[in-house]
Parts: sequence; C-alpha cells; structure tokens
Amino acid sequence: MTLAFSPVLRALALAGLLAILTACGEPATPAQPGATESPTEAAAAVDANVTDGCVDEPHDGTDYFPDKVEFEHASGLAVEYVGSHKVVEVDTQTGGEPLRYVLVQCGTEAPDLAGDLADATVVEVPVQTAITLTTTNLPHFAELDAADAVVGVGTADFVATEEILERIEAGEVDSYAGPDGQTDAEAVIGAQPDLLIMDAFGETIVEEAQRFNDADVPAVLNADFNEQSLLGRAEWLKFTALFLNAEAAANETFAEIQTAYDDVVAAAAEADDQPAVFANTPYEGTWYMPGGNSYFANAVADANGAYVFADDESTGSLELDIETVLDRAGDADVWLQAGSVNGTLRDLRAIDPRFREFKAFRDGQVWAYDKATTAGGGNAVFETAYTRADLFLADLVAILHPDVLPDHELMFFGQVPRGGDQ
Amino acid sequence: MSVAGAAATPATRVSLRAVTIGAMAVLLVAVFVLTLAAGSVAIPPSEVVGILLGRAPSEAPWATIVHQVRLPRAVTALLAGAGLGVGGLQMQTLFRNPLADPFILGISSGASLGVALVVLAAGTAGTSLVDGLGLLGNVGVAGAAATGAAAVTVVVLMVSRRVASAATVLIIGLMAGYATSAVVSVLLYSGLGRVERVRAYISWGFGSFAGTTWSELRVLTAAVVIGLVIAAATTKPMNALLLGDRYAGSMGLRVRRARLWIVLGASLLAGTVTAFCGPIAFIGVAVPHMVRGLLRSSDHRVLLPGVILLGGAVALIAGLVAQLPGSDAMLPLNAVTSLIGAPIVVAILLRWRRSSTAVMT
Amino acid sequence: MAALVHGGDDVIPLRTESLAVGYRGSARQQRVVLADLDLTLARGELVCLVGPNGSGKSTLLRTIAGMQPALSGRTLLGDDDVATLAPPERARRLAVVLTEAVDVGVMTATDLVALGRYPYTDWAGRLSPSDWEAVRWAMEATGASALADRQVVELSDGERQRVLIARALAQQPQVLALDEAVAFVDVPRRVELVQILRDLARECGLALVLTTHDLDLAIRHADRLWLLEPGDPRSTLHVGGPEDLVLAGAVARAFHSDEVAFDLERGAFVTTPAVLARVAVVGHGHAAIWTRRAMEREGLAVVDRGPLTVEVQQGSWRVVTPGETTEHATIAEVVERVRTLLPALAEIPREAAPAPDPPPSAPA
Repeated sequence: MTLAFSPVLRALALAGLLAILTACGEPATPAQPGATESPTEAAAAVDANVTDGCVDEPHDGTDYFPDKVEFEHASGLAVEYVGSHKVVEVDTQTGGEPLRYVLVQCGTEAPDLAGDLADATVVEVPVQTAITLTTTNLPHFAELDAADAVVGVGTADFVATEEILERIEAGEVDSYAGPDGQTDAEAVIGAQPDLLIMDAFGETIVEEAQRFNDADVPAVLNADFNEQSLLGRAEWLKFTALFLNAEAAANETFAEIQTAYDDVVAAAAEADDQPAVFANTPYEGTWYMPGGNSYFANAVADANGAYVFADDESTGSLELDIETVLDRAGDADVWLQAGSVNGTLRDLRAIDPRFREFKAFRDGQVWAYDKATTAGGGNAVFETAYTRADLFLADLVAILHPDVLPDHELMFFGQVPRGGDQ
Repeated sequence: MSVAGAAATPATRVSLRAVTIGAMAVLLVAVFVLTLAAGSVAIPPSEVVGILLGRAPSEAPWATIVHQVRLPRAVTALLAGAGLGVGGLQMQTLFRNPLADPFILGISSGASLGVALVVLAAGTAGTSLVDGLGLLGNVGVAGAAATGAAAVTVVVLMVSRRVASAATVLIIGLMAGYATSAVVSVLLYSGLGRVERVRAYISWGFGSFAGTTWSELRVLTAAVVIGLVIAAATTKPMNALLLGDRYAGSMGLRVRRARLWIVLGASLLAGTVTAFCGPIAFIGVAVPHMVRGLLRSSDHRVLLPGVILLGGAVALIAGLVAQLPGSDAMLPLNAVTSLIGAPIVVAILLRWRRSSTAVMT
Repeated sequence: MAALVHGGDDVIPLRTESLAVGYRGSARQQRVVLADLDLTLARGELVCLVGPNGSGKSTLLRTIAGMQPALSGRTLLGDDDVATLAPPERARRLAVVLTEAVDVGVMTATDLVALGRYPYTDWAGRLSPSDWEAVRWAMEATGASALADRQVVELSDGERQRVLIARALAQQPQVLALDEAVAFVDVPRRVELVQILRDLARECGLALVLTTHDLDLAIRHADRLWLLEPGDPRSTLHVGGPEDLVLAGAVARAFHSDEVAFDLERGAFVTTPAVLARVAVVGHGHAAIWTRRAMEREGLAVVDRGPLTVEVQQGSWRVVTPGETTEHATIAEVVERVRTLLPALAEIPREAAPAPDPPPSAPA
C-alpha cells in the first residue's frame, strides 16, 4: 500500500534524507534503479537487497529485503524482517535479555524504537566499511565477496584469511588492537567505520559496545563461539551477511556448506569402527577438556568417533587433572589438538614424560591443529574452520577414518612427528 | 644427653623423646600412604598398597596413576618438607631468630627472579601453541629458578666470608631479596609478557608438589640428601652457635667457616625445593618450633631427625588438604601451608614475648 | 677439687708484649685506646680490670681473649701467640664468660655446661665419660650442681651466670676471661660468684681476669688490679695490688671528678658537699657508725664535741642542743630533727670538711 505524498511533505522527506546522508558521512547518493520511480509509482518491493549504497526515495511499506535468511542451526541468533528494517537478536548466553540490533536500510526512515527495542543499537545497512576485532567473522566477508568492506582488524598478525591478508598487505586494512589484546578505542572512533564487530567476551563488553555506539560507531557483538554444533557456528555467516544485505549470497554459500557437511557425515557413518578420542594438553597443571556437549564433542560424534568424555553434559570445559585423564583416555586411540606440527612428540614429552602413558602417544596418533598457521601467528582454525564446517569435519574424518576420505588433504590438523626416540 | 646420676627425669625424658620421634615416623608413613590413596580418581586404599607391592590392580590405568602421578607427588612433598624444615632450623640457629625461614637470605626471591625472566621476558612473539608448551615446561622453569636461587646464594656467601657479623649477612640477604622482588615487579608490571604469562608466573608462585617428574626427582633427591648430610655434619657447630657467635668462637668454632657451610646447606635445600615446587611458605618457620616443643630440646642432634620426619609429614598433610579430597576444587598449596603455619608463628610470638629472657643477639 | 688445669707451674698462662689495643676504623684510621702493654697473668691469681667507662676495659679484655685483633704487639698463651693459635687449641687454654644474655631455647643447665666440652668432643659432639666428669666437676666447683636439671630459661640472672662460669670451666682452660660477668647480678650473688672465682684460682691454679665496674668488689677481692686511667690521647694502665694503688692515689686519679672524691679511709667514693654544721655523735657499736653516716649524708661534719650532739643509746637516740633535748626511736627521726635545727646552727662559722685528698675525681 503506498501513500500519496504531498509536495511539501516530499520536500521535507528529501531534506530529511539529505540530513541523514550527511550525518552518516556517506558519499553522494548513487543512482538506484528504484529511486527514479516517481512516488506515485512506488513499487511494492525491490527485487534484490541493496548491497551497495542507499535508497534514494524510501517508500513506506516496501519490503526492501526480498532476500532473507533464517537461522536453523545457530541457536544464538534470530532475525525478523519488517519492511525497511531488520531486527536481529543475539543471545550471548550470559543470562538476561538478548542483544537487539535494528538494521535500517540506508535511505529509509528509522522506526520508532519502543518497548524491547528501546535500547537496541541501530545500524544503517548495508555497511560499506567495517572494523572487526573478531577473527571468526573475517571468512564471512571473504565468502560473501565483501572483503573490501573490511577496513580494520584487531591484530593484523593474527589474521589467517587469505583475502583479508592481501588487503592488509596492500595497506588497506589497519590494526586496532595492541599485542596484549587491548583495543585502541580512540583509533576505532577516529576511523568512524560503519560497523564494529566485537566478540561477546567479558562482563563489561556490553558497556564497551555502548561507548562505541555513543561515539557514532555502531558496535555489534559476535557470539558464534557459543554454538556447539558445527553448522550452527557456520551459520553465523548469515549474521555478517545481514549487515551487508548479502542474504542471497549467504543462503547460497551456506547451502553449499551444509550439503558438503552432510556428505562428510554420511561418509563417516559408513565406517565400522569408532576410534576413541580425547583432546588438549594440560595448562598449568589443569587439563581443560571439552565438555560432552561441546563443539568438539559434537564434531567428534559427527565424525563417527567416540569421545571419551561424551557422557558429560556440559558445553564448556571440564577442569581435570592428569589422573582423571589417564584413567579415561589412557587407552584412547587418537589424541587431538596437542603439540605442534612444527615440533615433535619428543618436545611434547619434555613437557610431561607421563604423556608416554597414553596409548595414542605411543602409537604416534597425536594431531596438532596449527597446520594452517600464518607467520604472524594467525590460525585458520579460528577463522575458516568456523565457517567451512565441512572442511573442518573432513579433517577429523580423515584422521579417524583414513579410508573414508582418501583424497582429502588435511587443512587444519597435522600429525605430530615422532622426532627420534620418544 | 644429660648427666646420669641426677634425678630419674633425664632418663625418662630421653625415652619420651624416642617415643615421640617414633610417633613422628609413624605419622609420616601414614600420611604418605594416605596421600597415595587420595586423588581425583577413586582407587581403594587396598589396591594402592597392592600396587606399591607390585601386584597388578583391577583397573590398568590405576597402576600408572599411582606410579606416575601420585608417587612422585608424595615423594616430592616428603623431600620438600624435610628440606625446608631443616633449612629453616639452620637459619633460625644461625641468626638466633625464631622467625627466620630458609628464604631469609633472599633465596625464594632469586628463584622468583629466574622464573620471572624465563616466563615473562622470553618468547614474546606470536600466539603459537608451542609457546604454551615449550618455555613454560618443567625443565625451563626449574632450571631458571635454580639459577636465580644459586646466584643470590653465591652473592650472600661471598659477603658472608668477609663479614664478621651474622646480622650483616642477614641484612645483605634481606636486601638481595628486596632487590630481586623489585625487578620481578617491574617485569610483571611492564607487561613484557601477555596475560597468560603473568598467569603462569603467578601460578608458579602458588607452589605445588605435583610438577615433578621422576627424572627431576632424581635431582631433587640428590640435592636434598646432600643438604641433609651437610646439616647432619654441622650439628655440633649449630649447637655451639646456640650461645651466639662470640661464645661459639671462644669454644673453638671457626665461626665464619661454619656459617659458610650452614648457609650453603640451607641454600641448597631451599633453592632446590623452590626450583621444583615454587616458593612454599611457612613450613621452614613452623616445623622447627613444633619439633622443639614436642621433643623439649634445642639440641640439633635431637632436632634434626625430628624436623626431617615432621617436616615431611606436614608437607604431605598440606598437599593432601590442598587437594580437597572429595571435591573437584583445589586450593593453592601456599594458602594451605600459610593456614597451618600462621597460627603456629603467632603462638611462637606470644610465647616469645612472655619469655622475658628471650633476646635477639 | 682436682686441679684439672693443664700446663706446668713455670709457664705463665697469659702475657702480652707491647700490646696495643683499639679500633680499626675505615681508611686505615686507628683509634688506639691502650699501647705498649706488657702484662702478665699468673697462675692462681684473680686480676680485676677496672676503670671508668670508656677507658677501654672491654676492648683490652676482648683483645687478649682473641675476640678482637690487636693493633700491634701480641698476646701469648703459654708460649703461643693468640693470633696464630688454631681456634680449638686456643679454646683449650682460654675460656670466656660474657655479660650478654643467652637464648639457648630448650636446654637444661647441664646441657649448657656440656657445651663447654666443645674443643674435646668428636665431630658429632658426643661426650665421653671423662667429658661428663669434667662437666660434673665444673658444676660442683661453681656450686651449680643443684641447677643441673633446671631449664636455662627459668634461671635467675645469678644462677645463669653461675652456669655460664661452669661452662667456661668445663672447657678446662688455664685462663678464664670474664667480661663484666657479674654486672647484672645482685650484690650478694656477686660477692658469692667472685668468691667462687677466687677459690678456683687458689685451688685449681686458674688464672682469671675479670672486668668490672664494681670498684668496691674489685678492691676487696682482687689479687691484683689492672687499673685504667683515661687520658688524652690514650689511657694509662696501672698494675699493682689494690691497696697499693689506692694509697698511691691511682684509684682516685683514675676516677677523678669534681663532685666525688675517693675516701681512703672508707675505700669508697664520697661526695664532698659544703659542710653545713658540726655534730658530735656519742656512742658505740654499729648504731653509732650508721648514725655518723646519716649525719654525713645530711652534710654535717662529725667532730668530737660541739653544740649539737647526738647520743646513741640502746634502741633510741637523743638529740641534744644547748636549748633542748629530744628523744627519737629511729635514725630517720634524728635526721628530721637535725634538719629543723640546721638554720639555727648554720650561724656557727663554717669550717672546711676534713677532705681526704687532692682534687676530687670523676664519678666511677
């Protein structure tokens, strides 16, 4: 349903539009197919999400987002499309209300925010420039062909996504955090990106985000690490897509990932055996073992392995001592996420000679996950692996059931070489 | 130990002492076995004893657990307790100070400095997972701690040879301790390392008996045995020093030489234990006093075996308490030794004040 | 008491040759307190080393005991230089008793005395039967046997010093050096201890040197005095019998002060205030002696006869003046009475008190 605009109101709307444009610092309005329509001929919808630039002449009631996403696997996300804006809910699992983001199509009028949305952060979409202090979102930009939108990262050294690395190399992406992980807030505010993505860690993160909002930098929180299913983590690709209006690309890409993933699961299910698996090495005397309902446990289950702590029900880490681990995993077949591909089993034993007591160690079935590490120290396990769940799972299957995927080349994991007498 | 022919009490006192020492030995053995029986995996004590005697247990991993996890931990605690207790006894006698501990010459500060340099200042580049494994591994830390402790000891020994007064040596040792602590503070503060390294350093500071492997235990055992032998060989000089440097010298003791050996022995004990277990508080201060009270003697020939036995037992008990058997949580070892030791030190202070003849010479 | 002391009769236990004692400060600066000392200490004699504070008593004693290096010259124990003797051998010839309090922890008196056998026991400090014999002898000789099983920390000062002397004795030395060893002991015990020391000297052939600030004790009990007279730049040491040194005026000079003089008659230091009046004390016996002392304390000169008389009787006193006679039951009352009379008596022309000697000396 369109309303007729009187010339006076139309002039006012235009003025308001210009004011919004100036405030956003956006370049001059590029021509849009729909913008040249006369008000009286305003279409009831646009045929694709606007991925670059704003709408010239907003029309009430138009559905500016014909391409939509839904979240089936990611439990921490929900989105609702309302004509010219989207309402995104992010559940950071810290108790209390979820975070709400109102993504307003640039060029349209922002809705009145009331009730639940009164404190929501408003973000104009599509964003053209983004600073992401997280690493897991970087592959999203790459997969959505939007690497150019990334203008800032946390620590450039820790980036592993190729497309972003190239941009860093070319000087088009800056670092905004120091080596100790502290964000340079001043620099971020000075850069005035369209979007700032941060990880939802820490008790004060919401306040920190608010400070950026107050400084005209819309800040949103990423919580994909809370997802315990691999496809759930991968589906956060769509979260990033929301800010780019790239739902179409996201749906396509995710469908591919999902299909590939399901294929790997099916292939693994054909194997007869279920190797017993455990993970990690102790830190300062405590062995942080993934819980039985954690991401790692689910990955092992999908790869048709038997995680020795699968009976546990937590999603976080278990804090164990070596006794318990020896007791449960002493006879396990495969030891994952231990050691380094650049080191040897001997190095591992130097940390604690008792590692020899593990059958997996004696058999040489120790697999480190720093194979895809850059010189600067960035590890693709914390980037690509999140998005390309299929590749990550394929690695696991190739380790646990070498016959099932004989042609698969390991991407994230590597076997730790023996290195002489262990 | 005293003139026969006087009242019957000396004889009974001697036999009472023998009984007490016997009781300490029994306590030590009991706590040792208890330590072996406690842990996060429930293993019946009968199985534990069986494993020690060489029998195969019902569950295969249990033998590994007892031999590779619990036994080294128990032996470490025993050696650490004995070593720290004797070190504390030596320092209390040498400096005529009932509150002296084996670290009074700055040993734990030196060890801390060594560890801080290795953990905080080394390897700042990259987040490679190897980082978390390599430099923070046992060998590196223990070596660094031992080097730091040895460096401070050498300085103090050199001073001790040239200086006549024990009080001066003490002050130099204290100053060395403060200086190294200051440097450690700077390292911690300047954020040379990242948060997890600071955490690693702090974690070392909590103290632990669990970190030693069998091969490291060989080194610890050798060092503690040598230290105890030195202590045994210097019991006569230490008894003489009970009267103070001047009297001891007048009785024919070469005071500076004796002081050198005593400092060497105590430093070896305290330094090695700290290198492998981190700085462990209070055992060195409290155990000598407990033994003096129980055995009613200040004669080092009587005290030494008592301190070895009770020191080992107290350390084992502290380790056991720190593990909080029956729950998943753990307490830092230093917290437990402080909880045990602090009341004893307070009691010493109160008794010291009441005893009007007590004077620091 | 067996003479468990080594050495032949003709060996002088301790002597010094051109000994200079003092302090070596920084940058080679020396402070010489005493120089050119040629002292001897004979067997069987008790020497008291006396002098005002700061005259160098402890310095000298510590130097000859080998606890402090000499600035020049040497000290010989028998025929051997103290500086070159190995400490255990030196310990067999010389033992010390000091004034510092000892905190030995939980120990009986016997155990403490047994520590004195240090130079004789094996590496583990075990005592043989003959060692225990020496310990027993030492405790008997000092009268400390009754304290055998008492805890050292429970002993009184006198008892503890006794035990420390026994410990030194157990070392079976030829020379015993005591530095203010009876200083914190009460007076009766002090006399007891010194008497014990004299007996040890006599009967065991020990040579003892004792520093003390109790001049009276020294004069009464020492065989010889080493008297230190302070001077600039250094002190002078006088050696001699106590009586000779007193008569020669050396004692008075050493302790010279403006307010106090050494009374030759009484062998003590007395103040010399101006005489306020004269009084005659009539009577005999101890009461009369002490009455005279009280009068002197009040500043009166005691004469044979005068306008003021105090009559000493059996348990009572009478104060007699030309105008009045009063009766009193205690000397204190007599003193009070005399005080009231003083203003009137002060009109009597003053006379100088019979001062004993040249200018009064410094307080001890």
